[in-house]
Amino acid sequence: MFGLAKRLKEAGVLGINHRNAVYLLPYNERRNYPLVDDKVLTKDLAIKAGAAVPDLYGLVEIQQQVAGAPDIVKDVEDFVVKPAQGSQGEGIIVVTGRSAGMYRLANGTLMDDNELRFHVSNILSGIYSLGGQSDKAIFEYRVKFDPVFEKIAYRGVPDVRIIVFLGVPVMAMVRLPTRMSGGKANLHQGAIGAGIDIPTGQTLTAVWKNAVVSEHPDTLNPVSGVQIPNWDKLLDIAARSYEMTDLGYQGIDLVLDADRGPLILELNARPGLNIQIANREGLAHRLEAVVANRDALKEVDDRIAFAKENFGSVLL
Amino acid sequence: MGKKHLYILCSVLVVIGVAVTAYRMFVLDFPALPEQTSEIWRIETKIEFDASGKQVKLDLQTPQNFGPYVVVSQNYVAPGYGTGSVSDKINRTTTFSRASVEGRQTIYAGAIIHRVRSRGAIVEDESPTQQRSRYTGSEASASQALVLRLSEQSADAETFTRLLVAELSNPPAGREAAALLGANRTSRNVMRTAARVLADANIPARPVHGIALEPDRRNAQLTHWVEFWEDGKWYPLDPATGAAKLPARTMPLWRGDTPMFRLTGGVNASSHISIRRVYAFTLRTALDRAQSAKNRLVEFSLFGLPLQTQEVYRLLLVVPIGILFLVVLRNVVGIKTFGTFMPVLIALAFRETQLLGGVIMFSVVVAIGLLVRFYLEQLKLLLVPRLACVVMVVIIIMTILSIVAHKLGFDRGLSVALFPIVILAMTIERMTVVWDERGPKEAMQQGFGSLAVAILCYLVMNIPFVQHFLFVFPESLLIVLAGCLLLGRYSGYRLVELPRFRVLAGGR
Repeated sequence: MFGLAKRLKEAGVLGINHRNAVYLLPYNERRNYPLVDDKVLTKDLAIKAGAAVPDLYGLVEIQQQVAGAPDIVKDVEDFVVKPAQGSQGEGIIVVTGRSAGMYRLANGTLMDDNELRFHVSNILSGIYSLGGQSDKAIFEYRVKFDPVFEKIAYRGVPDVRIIVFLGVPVMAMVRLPTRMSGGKANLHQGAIGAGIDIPTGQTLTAVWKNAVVSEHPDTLNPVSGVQIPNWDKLLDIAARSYEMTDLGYQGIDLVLDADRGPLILELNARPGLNIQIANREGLAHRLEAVVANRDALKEVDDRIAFAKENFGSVLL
Repeated sequence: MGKKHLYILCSVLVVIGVAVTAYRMFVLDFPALPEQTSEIWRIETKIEFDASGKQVKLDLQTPQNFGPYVVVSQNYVAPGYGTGSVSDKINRTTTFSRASVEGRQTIYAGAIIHRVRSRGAIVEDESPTQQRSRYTGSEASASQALVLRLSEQSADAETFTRLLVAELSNPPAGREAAALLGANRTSRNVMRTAARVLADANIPARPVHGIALEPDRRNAQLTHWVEFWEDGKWYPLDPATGAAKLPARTMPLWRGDTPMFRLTGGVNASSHISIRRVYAFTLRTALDRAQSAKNRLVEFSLFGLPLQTQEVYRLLLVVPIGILFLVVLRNVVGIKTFGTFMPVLIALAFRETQLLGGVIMFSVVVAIGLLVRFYLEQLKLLLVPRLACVVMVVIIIMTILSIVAHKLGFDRGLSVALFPIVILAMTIERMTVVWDERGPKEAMQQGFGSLAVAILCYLVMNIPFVQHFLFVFPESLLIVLAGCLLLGRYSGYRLVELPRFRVLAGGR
């Protein structure tokens, strides 16, 4: 057991205690957390910084507005409802269209107006929010994903997660929804995570529920070696997110919209560690390299160049 | 505020915690183990005499603290008599008095003596006053001749005393020693004579009278030895070994030429000393002793609180141990639980209901609660009223369980006063959300995880030693706090991460 721990340490695998004690607590100031914990604030922040985000259709902030919630989306066919302070993708409903006056959801089920209101009311009560405090419900644009992902995603929007440390994109993966994840892009719900080679933007091997896979379990198409479009643009947005929030260690979730290009979906001040499994590589050595060269990494371009030079995958 | 600061803080906490604990354990003799017994001696002195119908006054020498011997308590049985004690630095005299009485009288004086491990503070006497020779005439010259002869053979007060006691104990016929002793060759007279000759040699000295503490002596004999003064201290001289230390297991009772008791108004007096060894709980005797010594650290401890409050603290003080254990299970092992401290609160409740009853109670309440909660889901209730409903359902389930348990003859189910109803309701609510969001498997995992952690916490918190130790030495909580602070900076892997990241360990 100690031998395994020692080998993991040598491989630079970051454990959750290590992440919290050495990177989160020293580099992420608590007062900056609300910026990323509240997705409404994140949206404003991103727009101010000139980054694109999914359009906001409307907000429901108090229970009295719940009855009128369906009116917010009466002019659009499809939309997404999510809690402003949700965590790990909980409480998100993706409506892909309408049929017979009902909402058709991404997982194929139907929902009527009352069920929608109940869901919104639950969001306001705070059952999906981090500390259980009362919350807001966001109605926003549903992303139509880039065709490159059509073959390797099952009903849902794949997103790209990039870990950004002190403004340097250190590791990335693309998360592909599966039948098991119900169209959601969260790994613990059953989505596939495929590591991305930072210099090239090509996908590496993928993990699905802790197992290494080479093809999508539902579509049976290969998930490795796929070129992520607009990769340099994604790296640029990721690197600039540091100035946006001042959080030293954060995860940025981006989606590639077929019409509008890369959009910031959300930021995460406590990004998970599964990205290491998707990349078959530990984070610690990369993070240490950034700390060692910190003084030379002031400008966005320098940071991207540093990442491209140093963080190529060992798998290629 | 780096790690160094934390290490210094933790060291300070540990040092204070260990120092106070050690002081109370080794100096004040608070027991480290529950139900630890220690040696207690009960010395009873019985005085019998015939009162002659006049005023009666009995002065009895009674023991006081000396060296490792601590007098825990004294008590007297003397019906009709007034008692009072006077103690100087040497002796403690108890006086029994009565205006007029006739017939056979019996007076008991008992003392509880505790022999402690530590050498305690030896009662330091004042330096002796200059003693004048008690001898006149032929005795005076015999004494001086003896002093002169022994001075030539000795180097210091100790060797002089040793030679003198040896000569007096076994006096050669026709020499000075035999003349001084006269016909009375008792040990008591030997020591009295030794003290007088020592005074002539300008060595302050006094006879000491004590008893050997041996188990269950019905009629214990007094033993006598002599103490001499040198370099600002009194030294005893053991007549058996000649060593300048107290005879083994012997406790001094009084000093000087005074007899054991002095009686006026009575005749045919006799004394009788009995010794009994009893084993008492060390905690009790330590407390008695400390209270008799008016020790601040005891006045300022949990034992000064009312009994009911003490019981609360007995419970409260093990909570930190449970919490520390929980921190280890969560941050070092990595077990997932509902709510941060919920398992510790459940574990506390298990103390009331016993483990099996508690586990059954917990499982049944959560299972039925889940069913009700799933039903409530259909009614589309708002969060706070829904939670309130779950709390009420939990109370109803517990009421029914208690009634059923009582009817079946298990009264364990009734002791639910501490069962955390709100915590259970929150657990049910959180479990339903996890069930919906992440599936029954994850919900069951976390549910059983919480229960397992609660059981483990209960087992740790229920170790009698842990309970006893924290209650008797609450300062050891500082050590627990230090441990928790250190865990706060633990950045190693969690146990569950090892299999999770196993795939990343290979490749070499």
